[in-house]
Amino acid sequence: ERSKGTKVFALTGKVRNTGLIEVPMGMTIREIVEELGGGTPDGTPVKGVQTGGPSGGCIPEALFDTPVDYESLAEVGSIMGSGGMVVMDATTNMVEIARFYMEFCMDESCGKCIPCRTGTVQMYRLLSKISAGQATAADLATLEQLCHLLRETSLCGLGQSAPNPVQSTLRYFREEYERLLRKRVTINLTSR
Amino acid sequence: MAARTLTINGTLISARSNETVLEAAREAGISIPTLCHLDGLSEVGACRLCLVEIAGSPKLQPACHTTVTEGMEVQTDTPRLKAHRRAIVELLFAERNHICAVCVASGHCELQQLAVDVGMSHVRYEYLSPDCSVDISHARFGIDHNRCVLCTRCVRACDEVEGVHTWDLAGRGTNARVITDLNVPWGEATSCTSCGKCLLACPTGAIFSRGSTVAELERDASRIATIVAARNERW
Repeated sequence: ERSKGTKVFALTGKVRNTGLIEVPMGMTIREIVEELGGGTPDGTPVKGVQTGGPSGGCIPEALFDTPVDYESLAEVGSIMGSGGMVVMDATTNMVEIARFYMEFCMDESCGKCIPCRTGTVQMYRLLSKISAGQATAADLATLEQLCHLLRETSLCGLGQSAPNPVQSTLRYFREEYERLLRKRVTINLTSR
Repeated sequence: MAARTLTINGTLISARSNETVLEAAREAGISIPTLCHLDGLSEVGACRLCLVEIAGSPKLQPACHTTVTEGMEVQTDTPRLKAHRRAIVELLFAERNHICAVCVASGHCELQQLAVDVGMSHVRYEYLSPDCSVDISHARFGIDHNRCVLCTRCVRACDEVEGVHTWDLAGRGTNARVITDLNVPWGEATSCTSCGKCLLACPTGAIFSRGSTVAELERDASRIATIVAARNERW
């Protein structure tokens, strides 16, 4: 109830009606996506939305009765941000979403502090490796460790929130990551 | 200047009211790792190695840039802090091409010492192996960007102590490089006075004096603090 008034969202993604909308604080995500947005263009089920851009997180369809306000979004692991809302359906690859946002953070990192400057590069490479089906469970563990490192030791909010899309997609769509992992590490003893 | 009493790792410490947690800890014999800090230069809090836990604050604070307060409770060596420090040093080794075996600073390098201090046995991250250049256009000095950790001690020493601001930073993120003047070769940087303070300030073998071979480069970085103290106190 501390969020008063209205909020402007930029609704985009797999949704029939895209564009800028102004809604009262407390309207649910479901109302925004299905009534204002009109659902997906071809009627396939909505998988979730991403709010807050590269600093934000994903909210799965199961939590679409969450009201849109600062506290509620933070509770489910996302943020309001500047109002970006991307609708995603079953064809959306959540690992690719995390990788896309990490690329942004990596490119925008100022370079002053070590964890963000080179940690975002390492996280981007790990997400690329996972996406390409080349990563192991150890790589996923390293990715999660880097999430904690950047969140707790980065100098500014860019590094501190860069892990958000990764942690959020891991929280709600972990199976998409695990499905892509290599099951066994093969050690090739012959020379390369 | 009033005295302040604080607790570091459970031990009561007395400090001056304008001291940082880092200064108070070091005076009490408690070591906190640092890299971007150099006595005599301003603090930037960039390397994040000196982060400490302070009771009442959910966020980690850089000891170099946090002034002591009365009753402050500081933890410098928790498992979480140790793990983060180790990870940061590993990230540094994976970031550029730090090859001790061919480096003039081997044996007298703060990055090497950090690896020992944090217990770095191996690097878990993938080596990025970027393409970094070496600039030996200057008659007396050179810079090998493969060894640079972007601590900016050279930038601050040149700007704050020598006062000519030859060194600065260009680029963003991991592509950032320290540059001389408007990104000209060091030998063509007309603002440079060849004073060598950047050489003193550099923690690794990135800035080196030409003519030294592997493991020969030894510097006394405390000379910068001595110069600053001499000027401030008008010896």
